[in-house]
Amino acid sequence: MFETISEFFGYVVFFYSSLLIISYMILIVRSYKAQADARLDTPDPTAIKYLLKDAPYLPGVSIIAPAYNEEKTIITNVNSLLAIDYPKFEVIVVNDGSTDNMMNLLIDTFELEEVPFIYHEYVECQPVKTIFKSKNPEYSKLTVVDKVRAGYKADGNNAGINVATYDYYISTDVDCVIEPFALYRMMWPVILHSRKVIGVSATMLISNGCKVEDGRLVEANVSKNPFAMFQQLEYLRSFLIGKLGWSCDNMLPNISGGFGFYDKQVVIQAGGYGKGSLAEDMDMLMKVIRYMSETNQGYRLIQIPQALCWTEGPGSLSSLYRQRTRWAKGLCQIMRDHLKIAFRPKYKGIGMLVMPYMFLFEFCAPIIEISGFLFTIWLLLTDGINWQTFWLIYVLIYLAAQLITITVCLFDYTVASARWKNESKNYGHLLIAGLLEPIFYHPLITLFSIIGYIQFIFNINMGWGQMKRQGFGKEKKNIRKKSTIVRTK
Amino acid sequence: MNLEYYISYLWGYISTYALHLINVFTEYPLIVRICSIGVTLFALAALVVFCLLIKLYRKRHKEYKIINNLDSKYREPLRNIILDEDNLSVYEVSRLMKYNRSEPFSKREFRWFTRLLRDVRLECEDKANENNVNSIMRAIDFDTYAAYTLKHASMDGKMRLTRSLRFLGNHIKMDEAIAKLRKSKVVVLKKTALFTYAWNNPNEALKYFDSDEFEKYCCLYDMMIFHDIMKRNATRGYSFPDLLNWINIPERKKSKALFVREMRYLGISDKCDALIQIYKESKDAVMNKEIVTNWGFFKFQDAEQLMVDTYSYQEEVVQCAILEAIRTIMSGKFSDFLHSAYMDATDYNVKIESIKSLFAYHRQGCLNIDIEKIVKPGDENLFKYFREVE
Repeated sequence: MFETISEFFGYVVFFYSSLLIISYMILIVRSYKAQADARLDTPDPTAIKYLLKDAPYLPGVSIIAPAYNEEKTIITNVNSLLAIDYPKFEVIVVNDGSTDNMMNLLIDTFELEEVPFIYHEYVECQPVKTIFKSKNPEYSKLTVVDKVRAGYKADGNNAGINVATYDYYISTDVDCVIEPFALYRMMWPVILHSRKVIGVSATMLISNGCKVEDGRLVEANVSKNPFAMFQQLEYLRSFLIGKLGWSCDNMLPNISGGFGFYDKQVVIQAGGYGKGSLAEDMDMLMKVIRYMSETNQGYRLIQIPQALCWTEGPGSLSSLYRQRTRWAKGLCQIMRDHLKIAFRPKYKGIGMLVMPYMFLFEFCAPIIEISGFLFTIWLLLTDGINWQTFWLIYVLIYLAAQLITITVCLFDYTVASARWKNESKNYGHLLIAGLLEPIFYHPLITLFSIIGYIQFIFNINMGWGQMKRQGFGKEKKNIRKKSTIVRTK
Repeated sequence: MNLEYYISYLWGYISTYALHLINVFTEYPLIVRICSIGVTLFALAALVVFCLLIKLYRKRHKEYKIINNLDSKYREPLRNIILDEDNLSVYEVSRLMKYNRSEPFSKREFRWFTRLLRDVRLECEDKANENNVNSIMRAIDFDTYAAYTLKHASMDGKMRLTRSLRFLGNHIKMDEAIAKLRKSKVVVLKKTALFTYAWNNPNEALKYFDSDEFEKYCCLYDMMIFHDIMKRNATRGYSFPDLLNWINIPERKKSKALFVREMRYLGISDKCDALIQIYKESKDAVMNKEIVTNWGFFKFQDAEQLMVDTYSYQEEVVQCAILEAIRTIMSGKFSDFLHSAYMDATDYNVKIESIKSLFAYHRQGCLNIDIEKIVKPGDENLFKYFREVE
């Protein structure tokens, strides 16, 4: 009896893995097609700027950056946002009841003063206490919203939407450095498509290891910190294969919260960001898609291959643990709230393909992987492993992972998404990260996801939490400091 | 004869080994057979992709060299030539650029030179001497390269060049080649070719916008190009269409509102009265909003009464536009209307617009009621805000 069950489980895992690999291969092909389309559709930056800069039709964009206790990066980030090259935009920083010196820093640096304001809650959020604008015309595009603490990014985004004056908005994080040309690139698909574009996503990469000066990225490097290096590869894979592949068929599964572009009215109609959501970005996209599908409106979702935003990734095991358990809990919330759209033709590709895929290969993956791992240990203990088959399957999966890594590097190089400083060295790092990732990093992520699921079931740590920021350009200094201490000892 | 022999020999060789391979795995379970095939395929694929990466890396580095060489050698001379107020001959241009016509650019060099020339041309903006840009192109025999590329290059290459031609001015005529691209099945290439053709041929510039095809693919980008062409035509005295004729075509749904907006952007104020009938018949909120905004923008008093009469059955966006238009026109005749608009407003944006208009009337002394006495419960803050802003 047990033998039958174990054989059945073995086959289930084998076919699950095969299906996952096949789906990745399909996504690679679709991603290649999406890149080719993007190359055709999009002129180079100079041409885009020339076409759009004086055009009266150019829509404006509000950049919303919710912040909580971000005194280390806030000034650099706001400077980076204000330095964006685009004729019509505003920057809205939403202070979610910070307890550090962030607000004072903002007030002093940008010469802010309280302004009378009228405020309408288009989407629900905690009460807004004060709105600040700068006395200095140089910072006229900056608005700072001080609101009662909610403890969720979603609430800050909602407050920002309520204050935003333009038709489109970008939701970003205060640890992000945005490329100066980003808004032109994000707006291009909106003005190019005859169908209503309701959301645009751009490739986001890890800023750890990069050189940032005055809020601008001056040198792109893959970090030497192993956690950041693995994440860099993970981000590239997710954006350049996963999201780009899905977006080719208008089935983008997520618009990253770090740099997500939306049509404001559609978001308001869809009810804004969900209260208490830990994966507010995916939740928002699902709500928007559901709203558009339920009201029978056509829409378009676009993924841009170029890296337009750089974010600080967790540089230590503890912060990585916090981030990934939160993501896992967020995924559980998404499954709880939106799995009902799966296999419903009304929601087209998102309902028929993306949601079942997410359930099977994103949500169930850690469960299947952990159970497979435990099963292997049990087989080891009972001497039930056929080593030849074991290694063959392992090599197959490992090679598939390597193929994906090399393809990601090729795609990244083709679209020149990151403009690495030393290309051969940085791609070398990424390829090495690809070799080590399945052995060291992936099991950790799987474990964190399982812990996240357990925490979700028992309602533990359901807050947003806070990531410790190093601040830009501090990584090298910290490493040096550490090594000095070691030498002194 | 020999070839057939070799082919059959090779085929026999391959099939023998294939059979041998299959036989080796016959005894194994299905999983092992699938995995073995998978491992072989993935290893080969990874190797191929890796080789492609290296090949691309080498190609890209060669291109970097070309770009840097062209930039260091030609950027300054090009800028000087383009900014030179005197019309230079082809010979002079070649001499200043130190371009050896007996050793012409390779295709790759041409590609990057075109981009460099376009960038320098755009940097110089209005100060550019178009004749000298033309001379540069003749000096390097650009026409031959462009004609070849538009005919034989990849889709990417055609697209790049067609876009660049649009920016390089209207002196290079690749009409025949571009005309062919206008029939392309790839919409984006077709559109780019159409716009480049329209830009280079002012008298035929507006054909596309007067077609059903435009209605089908109409987007903001098309309108931006249309606006550019119209602006150029207006300043240089080329043909200028009657937008009203296009708005009146019943089949046009998407583009109608955009043409009304374009009237505003181009400052066409004499058609305001003609929009009255369209407004009366239209049930499209986007269209009505654009018409009302035009009336407000051009301070068209004749439509004020009509706007007020139709206010109650318009959608909120149109109601907001009407209130804004009445505020902008400021005839002072509609104090009571503004009061009732405020009292009846249920939508927040309509309420804001009505209060704004009430305060604007109040400022001008046109309000025949006491603004402080009409505040509805819950609106105190809104009134306070506008009072403070005032």
